[in-house]
Amino acid sequence: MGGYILRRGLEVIPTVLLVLTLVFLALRIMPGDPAVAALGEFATPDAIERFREKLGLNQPLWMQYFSFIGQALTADFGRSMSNNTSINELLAQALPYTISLGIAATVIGIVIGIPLGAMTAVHRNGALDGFGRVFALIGFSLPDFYFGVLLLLVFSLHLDWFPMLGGGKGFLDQLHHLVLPSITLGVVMAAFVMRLTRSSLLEVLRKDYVRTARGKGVAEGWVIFKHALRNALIPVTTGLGIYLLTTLSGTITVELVFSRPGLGTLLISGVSARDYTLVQAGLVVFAFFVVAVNLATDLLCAAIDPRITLR
Amino acid sequence: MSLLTVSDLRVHLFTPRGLVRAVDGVSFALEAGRSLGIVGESGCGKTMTALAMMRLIPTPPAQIVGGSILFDGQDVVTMDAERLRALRGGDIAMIYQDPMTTLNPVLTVGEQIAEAVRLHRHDGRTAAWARAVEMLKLVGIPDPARVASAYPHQLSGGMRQRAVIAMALACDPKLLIADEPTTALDVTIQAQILELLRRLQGELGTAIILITHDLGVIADLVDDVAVMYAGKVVEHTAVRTLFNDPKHPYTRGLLNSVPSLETRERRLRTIEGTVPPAHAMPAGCRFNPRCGQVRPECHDREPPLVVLDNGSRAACWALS
Repeated sequence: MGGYILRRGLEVIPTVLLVLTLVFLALRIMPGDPAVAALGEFATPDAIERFREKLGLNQPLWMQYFSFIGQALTADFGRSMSNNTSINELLAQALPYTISLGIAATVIGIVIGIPLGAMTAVHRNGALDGFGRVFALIGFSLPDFYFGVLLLLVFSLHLDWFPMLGGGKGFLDQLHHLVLPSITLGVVMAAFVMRLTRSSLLEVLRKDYVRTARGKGVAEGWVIFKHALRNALIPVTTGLGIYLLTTLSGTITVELVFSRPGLGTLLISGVSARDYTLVQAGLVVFAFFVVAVNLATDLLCAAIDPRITLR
Repeated sequence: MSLLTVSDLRVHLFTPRGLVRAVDGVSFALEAGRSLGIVGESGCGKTMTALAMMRLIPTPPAQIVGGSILFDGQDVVTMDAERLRALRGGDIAMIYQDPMTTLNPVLTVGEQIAEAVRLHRHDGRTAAWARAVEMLKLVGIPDPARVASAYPHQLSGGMRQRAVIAMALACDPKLLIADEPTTALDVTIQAQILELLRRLQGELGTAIILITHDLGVIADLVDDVAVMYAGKVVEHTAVRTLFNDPKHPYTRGLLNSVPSLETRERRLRTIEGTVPPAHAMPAGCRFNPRCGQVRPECHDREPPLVVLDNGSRAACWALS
């Protein structure tokens, strides 16, 4: 297991380098000169030249590449082009909102999804299974921006239980602000996790080793919980990892709907201000998220399934 | 009173293609410490019969629709869930066909054995683990303490089957059901596992039901044999009598199709025809399309199991 963690951790290095290279290239391929975009069309050639020098855009491409990699790896993204504040500072303000949203949504997804999925599998074709099917259909077919607006209308505007917009100040207030956005993402995730758990568990329940457990006199609840569910969670973990990655883009829309000052909002404002350095930094952070979630998924799978460390 | 008395057991499979009478009126009895072989081709209902003893048949599609299975005077068919749990793995234990799929891949071998010990002997964790290691040693696994901490995928097929046997015997069952315990193994490993079963039977005095399609396996391992064909017992006799004086045409066909080293025949003898599809059994005796001694009544009525002059019981109109 220790060897596996080390091996899997080392595999992250080439992935990160590749991702950084892609981010670098993507921004260089974008049409238009960032200096012109930032200073406007009427800037003097002299001013543009000074601006390019300041950002290092006058250097050859390979030098820009290495200084970018260096910046990314040391987590020093310089200053924002549009308002000259430190990008690290902007990220430090935005990240907690996005990370807390991601974690809260995942917790909701798992806490609702796995037990409900297991129960619908055990009581297959029963009333609960029917409810689960409807729940999944709604979860899958509601776009998160629309679901978020619905929640806002009902629970903020009409019932006034939760604040409308923003991220909140202080721990309790922030928690209060977190409820509706995390439900928006979490309910959809729960629908996904539930269906995945259900189908995975139904397959495992047909396995010979489940019969062996029953044949040993293990009570049915333990058969499900100890012998079947743990095996069923292996594909669920992988699926959840992939789903979390797609949810990253979901956080952007949800942050917009709820005006949360998170990473998504920051990135969008960077794009609309043509803040080249900010967008670059935002993309790098998103890319790190992807790598981190993938790594966490793999390690979690290895913790559940002893066969994985051998592969 | 016998340890196990099965009377008129009927297991039906409710499939989309129709009703399949997988086990159709099977009866036999087994005394404590004795051993019974159930022999037959694939699909003759022998595994369903074995699983029914512990009510482990897959429901749906299968269901016990009739008969009784009296174990120690209690009917397994109508037993409540709690009593059934105490029975499973405690008084009756089972060895399954494929050791590659029988063990849970995410639990250590020791834990899977110790779990049964905790459930039935109410031992603490440490004592149960010690018992698991002891059982692994008993079934001839070298370095049992290390194997107990191993996961099934780290063991070979033969080792896994030994572990399954250790699991089955860990709670001193009165009856051990072995469902084709060697079919999925290499020939050399088969011999080792059979030798192990023979040794354990002698040491522990457990009653055994051995399910197999291999007549060679039962020859020196069981006292009595029940031959099954298409869901029914067609002959039930002592193992010696079965080999020396087989009565039912199907049993004789089975024995004839065992290759012999003494007579050099060019072609292996076979029973003509195939087992009829399970949902379209012929009327009368189910063996009549393949039988060489067929009589008019064979097409009309099913023959009952009757006692013959050599002490065997067989179901055949030509014999009664």
